[in-house]
Amino acid sequence: MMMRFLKLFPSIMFLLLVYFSFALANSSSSLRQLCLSDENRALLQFRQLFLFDLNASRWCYRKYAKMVSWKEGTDCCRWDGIACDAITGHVIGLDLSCSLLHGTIYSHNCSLCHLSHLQSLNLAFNDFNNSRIPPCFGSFTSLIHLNLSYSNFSGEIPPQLSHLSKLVSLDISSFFLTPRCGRFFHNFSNDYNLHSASSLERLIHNFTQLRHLNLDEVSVNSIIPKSLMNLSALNYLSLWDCGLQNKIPADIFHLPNLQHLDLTFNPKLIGKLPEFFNDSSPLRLVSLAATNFYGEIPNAIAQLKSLEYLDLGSANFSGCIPESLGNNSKLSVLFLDNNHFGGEPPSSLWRIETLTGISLSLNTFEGQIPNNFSTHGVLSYLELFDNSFTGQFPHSIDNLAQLQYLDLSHNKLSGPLPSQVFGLSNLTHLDIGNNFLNGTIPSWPLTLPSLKELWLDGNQLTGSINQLHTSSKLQSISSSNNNLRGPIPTSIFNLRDLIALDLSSNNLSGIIKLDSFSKLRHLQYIFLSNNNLCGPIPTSIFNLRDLIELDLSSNNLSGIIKLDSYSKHRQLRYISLSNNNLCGPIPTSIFSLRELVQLDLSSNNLSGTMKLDSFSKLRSLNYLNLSHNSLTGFQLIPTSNMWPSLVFLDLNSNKLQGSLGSLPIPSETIMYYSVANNQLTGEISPCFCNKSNLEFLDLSNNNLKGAIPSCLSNSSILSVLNLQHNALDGAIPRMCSQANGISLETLDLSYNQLQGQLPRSLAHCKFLQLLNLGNNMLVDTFPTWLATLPKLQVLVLRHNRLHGSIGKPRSEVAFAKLNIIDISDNNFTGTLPSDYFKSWHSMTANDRNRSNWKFLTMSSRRFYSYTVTLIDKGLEMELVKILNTFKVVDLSNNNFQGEIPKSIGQLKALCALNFSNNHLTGSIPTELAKLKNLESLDLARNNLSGIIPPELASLTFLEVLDLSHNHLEGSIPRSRQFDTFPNTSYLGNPGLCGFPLSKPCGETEVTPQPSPKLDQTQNLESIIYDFDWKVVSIGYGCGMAVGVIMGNYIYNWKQEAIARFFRVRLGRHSKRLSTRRRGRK
Amino acid sequence: MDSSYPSLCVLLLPILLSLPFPSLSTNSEGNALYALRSRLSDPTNVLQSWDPTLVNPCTWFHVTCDSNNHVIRLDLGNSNISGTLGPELGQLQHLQYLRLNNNKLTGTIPRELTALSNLKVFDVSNNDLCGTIPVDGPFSTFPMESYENNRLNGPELQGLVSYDFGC
Repeated sequence: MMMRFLKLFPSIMFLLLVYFSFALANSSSSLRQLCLSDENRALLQFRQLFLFDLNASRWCYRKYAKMVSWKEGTDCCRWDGIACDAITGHVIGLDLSCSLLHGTIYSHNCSLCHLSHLQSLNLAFNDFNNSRIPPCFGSFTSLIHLNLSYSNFSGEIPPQLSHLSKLVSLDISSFFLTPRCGRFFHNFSNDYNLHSASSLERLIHNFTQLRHLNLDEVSVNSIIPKSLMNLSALNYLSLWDCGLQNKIPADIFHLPNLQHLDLTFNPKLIGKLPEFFNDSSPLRLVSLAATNFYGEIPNAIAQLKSLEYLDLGSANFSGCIPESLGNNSKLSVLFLDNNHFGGEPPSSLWRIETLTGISLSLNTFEGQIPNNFSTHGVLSYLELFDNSFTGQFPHSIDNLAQLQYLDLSHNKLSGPLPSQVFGLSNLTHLDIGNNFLNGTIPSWPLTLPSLKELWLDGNQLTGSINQLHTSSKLQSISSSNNNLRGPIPTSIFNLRDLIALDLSSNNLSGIIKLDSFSKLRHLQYIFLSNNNLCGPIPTSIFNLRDLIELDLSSNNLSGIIKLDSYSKHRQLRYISLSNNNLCGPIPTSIFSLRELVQLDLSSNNLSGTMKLDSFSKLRSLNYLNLSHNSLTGFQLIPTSNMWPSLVFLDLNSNKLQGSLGSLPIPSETIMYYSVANNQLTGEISPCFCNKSNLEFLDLSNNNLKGAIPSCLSNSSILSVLNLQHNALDGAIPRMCSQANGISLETLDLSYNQLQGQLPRSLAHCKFLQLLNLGNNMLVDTFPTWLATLPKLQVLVLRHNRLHGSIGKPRSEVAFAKLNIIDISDNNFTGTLPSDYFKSWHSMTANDRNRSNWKFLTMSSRRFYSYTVTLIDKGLEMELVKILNTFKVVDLSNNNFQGEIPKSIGQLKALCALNFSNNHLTGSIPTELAKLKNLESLDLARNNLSGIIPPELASLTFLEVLDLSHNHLEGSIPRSRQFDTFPNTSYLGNPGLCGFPLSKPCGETEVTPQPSPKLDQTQNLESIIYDFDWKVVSIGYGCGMAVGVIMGNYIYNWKQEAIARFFRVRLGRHSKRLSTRRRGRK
Repeated sequence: MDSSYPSLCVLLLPILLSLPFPSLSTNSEGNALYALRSRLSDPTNVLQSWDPTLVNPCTWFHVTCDSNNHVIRLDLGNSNISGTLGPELGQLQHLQYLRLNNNKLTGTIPRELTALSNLKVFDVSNNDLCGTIPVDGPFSTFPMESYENNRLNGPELQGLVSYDFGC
């Protein structure tokens, strides 16, 4: 903003200059009629074209309708804005800048063309409504000054203008004062084109007298022509946002009279700063901001003795700042932000006494911020954010009496803030957020007399917030993400100018007093989430007229939400009160907040029915989350399209009763709809089928009956369909049967009463990650036809009526991404699917490092994790999040026969394996010892025989082992891990012996010994020393109650233990000695 | 009604704080394990599944629960973890098996572990622990192999030596 003002400054000066010269010309004219009649007529004709419109000259500080004085029958030389030649009477000057003109100039029939003696023409700051520049301007051969800036001309610049060989200044810029956004600005800027370098070259090649050239915002879209270098008189060159391209002629910096060089915002312009400058160079302003200039700042920059303004921001510069830059410098403004500069800024920089503004932000500067700022400084703008500056907050900054803006955020400043500063009385903006500052917040930041914005967020500040001065002008306070404690100081509530308050993510506690917010009339943003605030929400919060956003989530707030008035909060758009202990009903009035966009009351104890009436039509409501409460239902007038913009509706985990149809009808915009975990009844309405934006539908854990609407298979972008734990019956819809409806990622229909076959169309669901059809009454064979699904990670078909043998995969790649397969509790027969074991690539990868772990989530909305219920480690468990490294095979409770294949050893990543309750025979394969991540192994209730392979003792992560009810024999392997399993792991195997069973192994039996490297400490228990300890109290020394007796406690000692005992005694003495010595000091 | 809130809050706070941790949180065991995780360096990601947002820690790797969702086993032997053990382990009141052997654990054996009355197996062998070995509670029954290859002194002689002696 500042830069833009500085940039505009020369233009304004120029306008003033022209204005004064006209004033002089006017006063010299005599009383007789001087004006020539044809010129008089032409001017009056010109006047007819316009209306006066304040908006047309809105950028002018001083603006009025000059043409009001243009009256028929009067001397035109006496009119405002006209200058005449005192002798010939010709109009030689026309200044209509800032004259509120709004109208169109017809370029080929322009009455101004009659003013052929014009020497100066200024039409700047008007609105000519996209008129073309009249080509006849090119015939004003005496023209010296031409200014058409900011006047909404457009089209090509007429080539005739190049005939104006006497031109000294040319300004056809259309400078934007605010960001260009949309038509509005487009309409009020000049929109010129110069379609190639040659047209620019042709325009300027005659202008040998030219001193001032401003083509800002003119679409040059080409390289800078060489002929520009011939304009040796040039002193002001501004080519802001001209679409300049390619390399810039290096000698542009050597134009002998150039003082002002502005090439800002030409991102395709490539160049380097020259290695030398003329010692006599008059350059005062150089702006290369937002260009593609690169390389280092040369030492020679010091030769620019007149340089006051240097802006190299947002370019591609690198290297260090040369020490010379600060030597004998007259620099006033230095912007080097957003480049690749590094190293430590030279100390000379901080000694420039003329410096008023500096930005080094967004580089990789390091070292300390100097702490020797002088009191002579005039620095008012200091911006160093996003670097790697270290050290403490430089307290000498308070020498800078003029400082208004200070931003040191996103650095590595550490230590406490200075306890006091004197000065900084002009500071309005202070940002020291996102550093490593610690200690308490001293009082000074809160009491600076001019401070409006204070950012302390993301540090390690502790303690409580001090009381503030009520005279403070603070408008915005952010101290989020610190370790602040204690209550919110009451004095904050006296800051009458406060607009935004962010104290979220601290440890603030205590009650917010009821009338706290009543004085903060201008407050718009309140962020107090993630603290320990308690008590009720003060009603005064809801009486803030300007409030836009309120976030009190994740505190311990309690009581009911009191929101009684209807009209006051016209602005309130975002409310989050989630994760508190709020109770009672949701106030109806909350749905009268017309601007409401987002309402999150989830995870509270809210109860009752929601009464919605005609006020409840919230046009803007987009997000409604009432999940995890105790709401019982909706009472509403059945109007469709009640919340026409609703995208996200989450009512899960409440106590909603009644039929699904009693809930608000989702609108077309709905994308996420969850009413899971309630007590809803009735059938699923087909109205869910035609919601074209619906991605997520979760009706699980209710009491829904009837068939699943088959039309759900028409939903084109449905990703998640979760209907588990209802009482649905009938057949499964033919999901993915339509070519444009295959986005399904999760299909969970488990725990219903679904019948029939698995729909073969599922083979087209190529994005399917999770398929859970468990606990239904499906009758089919194993779906080998799903083997090609490229993303399928979880397949659960547990507890159905599936039958037949599993057979072999049709190709080598079958279920390659599968992490979890549970086909337990069916009627599968035949041998275990040993060929599949080899094809389950995701389970065969031995990724002990598990570095590529992630949760299985909805691909478009990563916050939503998929869940599945499994039996693992002997318990039925719901995996609320499914980790891709969690690999499970459960084939239990079927009729599988034959041996456990050795290929089981391929599934190296397995965490849980369950083959229990089948008819498996043969021995336990030693290959199971390769499954190093195995935590749960269940082979119970089969016909397995032989010994328990001692190699299994190497499975150190094994937590649950069940080998019961087989025909195993021999001794149970010993290891520290194996010794932790209870005897129930081995019951029903009469041939087994040894720990933990009570049956000892006979001497004739060969005890299988695991290799010693499996567990080095295996046999150390045999070295037993029976030292027995008892501890009693006896008097000792200076009254310490201590005693040692050897007694009957069972301890297994090694010899070392004795040595340790003595070390302990020794230690005691040395400790006593050292205390005594300390005592003497 | 409203004015009674401040005094109630102030009065209740010390009482709430003095209650044993489990009654404050349904997932105190998960919190305890997560606090342990935050102490440990885990280069091979054996603790990756320890997600504190879950209702209980029973689905976490290397954690076993009983049917009441109480943690009864923690099997982190040979896991390449380093760091210290903390007092929070004392909150796993149903813990029966605690295997932390063959890692790079440092610091002392937290005294809070002596409150774990159900602890049957405790194995911290082959680590870099220091201080003295507790003798109270279940620690009266563990064999010395549980502690071997550390820098432990022991056993603690109550009142004689501070437990962090030798650290």
